[in-house]
Amino acid sequence: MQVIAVTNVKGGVGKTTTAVNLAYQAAREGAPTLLWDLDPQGAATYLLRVRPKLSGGGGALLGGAGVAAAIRETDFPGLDLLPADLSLRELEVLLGGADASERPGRDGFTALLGGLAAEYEWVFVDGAPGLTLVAESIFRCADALLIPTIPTVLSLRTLARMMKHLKRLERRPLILPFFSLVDARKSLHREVCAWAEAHDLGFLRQSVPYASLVEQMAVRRLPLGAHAPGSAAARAHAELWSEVRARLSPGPAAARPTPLTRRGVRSLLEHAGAQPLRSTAGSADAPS
Amino acid sequence: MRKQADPSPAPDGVRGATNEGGAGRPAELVFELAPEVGKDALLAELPPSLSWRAADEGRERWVVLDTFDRRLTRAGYVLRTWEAGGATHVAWSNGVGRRQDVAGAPLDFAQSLPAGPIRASLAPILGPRRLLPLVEVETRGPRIDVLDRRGKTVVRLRLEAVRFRDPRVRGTWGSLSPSLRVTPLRGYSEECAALLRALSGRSPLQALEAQVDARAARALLGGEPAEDPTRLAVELHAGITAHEGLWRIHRALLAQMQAQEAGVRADLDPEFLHDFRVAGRRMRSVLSQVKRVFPAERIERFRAELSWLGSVTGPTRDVDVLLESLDRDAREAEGAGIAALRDLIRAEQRGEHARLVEALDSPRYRALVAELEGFLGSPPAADDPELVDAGRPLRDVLRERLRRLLRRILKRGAAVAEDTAASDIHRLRLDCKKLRYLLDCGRGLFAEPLVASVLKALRRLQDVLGRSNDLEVQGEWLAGFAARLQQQGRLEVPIALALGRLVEQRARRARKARRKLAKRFARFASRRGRARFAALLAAEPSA
Repeated sequence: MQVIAVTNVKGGVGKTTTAVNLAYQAAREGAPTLLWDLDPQGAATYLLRVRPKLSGGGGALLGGAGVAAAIRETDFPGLDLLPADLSLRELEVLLGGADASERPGRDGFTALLGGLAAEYEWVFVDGAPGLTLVAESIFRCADALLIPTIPTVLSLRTLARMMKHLKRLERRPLILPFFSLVDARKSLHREVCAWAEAHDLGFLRQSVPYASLVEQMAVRRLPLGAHAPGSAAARAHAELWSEVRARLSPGPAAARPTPLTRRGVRSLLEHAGAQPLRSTAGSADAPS
Repeated sequence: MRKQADPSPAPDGVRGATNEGGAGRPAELVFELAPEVGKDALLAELPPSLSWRAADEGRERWVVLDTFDRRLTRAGYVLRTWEAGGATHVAWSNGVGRRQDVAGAPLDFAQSLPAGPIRASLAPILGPRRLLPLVEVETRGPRIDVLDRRGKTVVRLRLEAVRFRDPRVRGTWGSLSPSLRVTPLRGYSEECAALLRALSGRSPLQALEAQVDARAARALLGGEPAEDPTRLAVELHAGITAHEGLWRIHRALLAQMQAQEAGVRADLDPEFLHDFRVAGRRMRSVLSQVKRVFPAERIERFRAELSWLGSVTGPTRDVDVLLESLDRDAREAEGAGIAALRDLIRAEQRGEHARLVEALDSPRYRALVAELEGFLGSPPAADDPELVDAGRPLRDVLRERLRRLLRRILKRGAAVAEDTAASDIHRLRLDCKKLRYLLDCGRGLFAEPLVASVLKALRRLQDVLGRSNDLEVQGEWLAGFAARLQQQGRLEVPIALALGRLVEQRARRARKARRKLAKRFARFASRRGRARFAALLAAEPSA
């Protein structure tokens, strides 16, 4: 079983739609797949028409006992959902409990998912935006962090901050950033994407275009592949999944693509015309 | 709103819910459906909290694959294959997990399954056996998605019309009775329970077995696979006479031998020949051991002809075993010259097999089978005064024979040392086989737990004896093959080196097996082992 967290500190970058569409693709290929909606807003739960209700509340999940009972099979063969409701806000409180003995272990999510390893080949985690304790727990349990990033300065700045934070993790998952909500009419979007590709900065080759069909997912409450399989957006998600899956397959070290680094993100920001990031440590990033 | 149709539709019961549930997944349910009950009548019974939506009316057709001895079925697996979109699809389910993939090649042996979870799960079960088409199944009928207030599917219904046929012949279809398949989605068991209560309102639902493949296979083949296909299917009651009991045993052995013949001729997989030879050897062994039950001259004739049959099938079997051992040992496979040598050995196997088929086509073999069928067609006459054991209980006759055999084995085995002559080890091995065959055939006459216990101990001894013998036979064969290649001017250096390595390895392993033999025999012949055997012979048979 491999765990892919679709994550970004920034909101509105396409996390939920990416998680839903890629989970749908994975299941469609015959691999038993679980989508874990960890965002109290419950957007993925809504898209898949599941009742937003967790028996026992979010805290019950951490004990492990409530997980199996909470899982719901979606309308799509092979794809299950661990739904979200507002009680997931409790997790932040529980994880940050004042008394260490009351706090679930740092690897609580890993243990929870470990119990599902025999059932699922893929687990996609759709987390809430923000650098929270829940997000950190997700980072720790994931095999890969799939980071949708809009090719704009603000989004890239957030990505750089995230990269700095991720450096502190004891066990670093595979970092897979990709460009999302790409609007080909915008020169900034085009230039950022082209520059990143030309300099092999470590972004996935496949990007996801901005498309009203993606927004339509919330109207139709269906993954793209289910209501518009021939669309460019659906094809982009399918290709994205192929690329992610390939990156997570074992292969020789020499064939692995260049990983994204903070330096790479900074160079991209500079190309986009942004002021260099200032490091809190001081001189290394100070403008000349 | 209609669901998007899959470009490669998968049969029900494989994708989606599993039939037997497991790991939190609810079990699929199937109910008998009266022919006059249609979709409208069913939908009229839905509770008010649920609505429905017609899904694609599918028609799926697939072939269930299994080995000749139904290994997958007995292990609780279903393996299906179907063609769609120009590709061969394969899927398995086992009540807990399910997987689907695209096969790149025609499916025959485990290695032809798609690499990944399918092959990893099934290869250990399949072993060297070939996958054969078991039954072709077709289901059709309207599908209905039952929805909750959010428009979420909570249960899937299918009014199923199922038909089946023999996939090798593709003749007339047979039909199973119409059924309603209820597939609850995980997490919606309450909604499913409410639905079933509503549907049962007018008359109770009669449950059927959910696994349509099992129902279709049973309808086509007329029964379930035997739990242990190596066990002889013969009814022996406690008081059966030697005459009638042995007649039944040999009829079953002949049937077992004949069942393998088509697979032997087609060389489908090496187990057909193995089982063919075992049936023949059991027949020869039991006929020879239990005397004064059937006319001596008939028995001597059958013994001689079955011995001939063993001799004409032996060379092919020897090469099969050698090839299997080469396939099994990955380290051997990596050596230089091995690949080319393996090809040469395979060519030898094909030659031996061709000669085997000639022997099966010969008048001599046909005469043997005709005589056996004639002899065993009806119980032979038992009025010859020389057949003094014919009217005695078979159990008593076997018990005497088993005791004598065991005494001989204990005496021979006690003398075994590392330097014991190969011919003496061979005689010990043959005696153990005779003991084993008698126990196998007369199993129903003794207490089953004790039989199983004695056979287990005997098998452990036979494993070492058999391995030692196989290694010596293989070493001799390889040395003989090297000499033949040299004579023909075909012994190239890499092949010669590979042959040398293999011969040396086999000699080394045979010596190792020989060193184990004394210890293994001591365990068999221990006080506990002998007490086990004594208990077997003294106890009353199982009820």
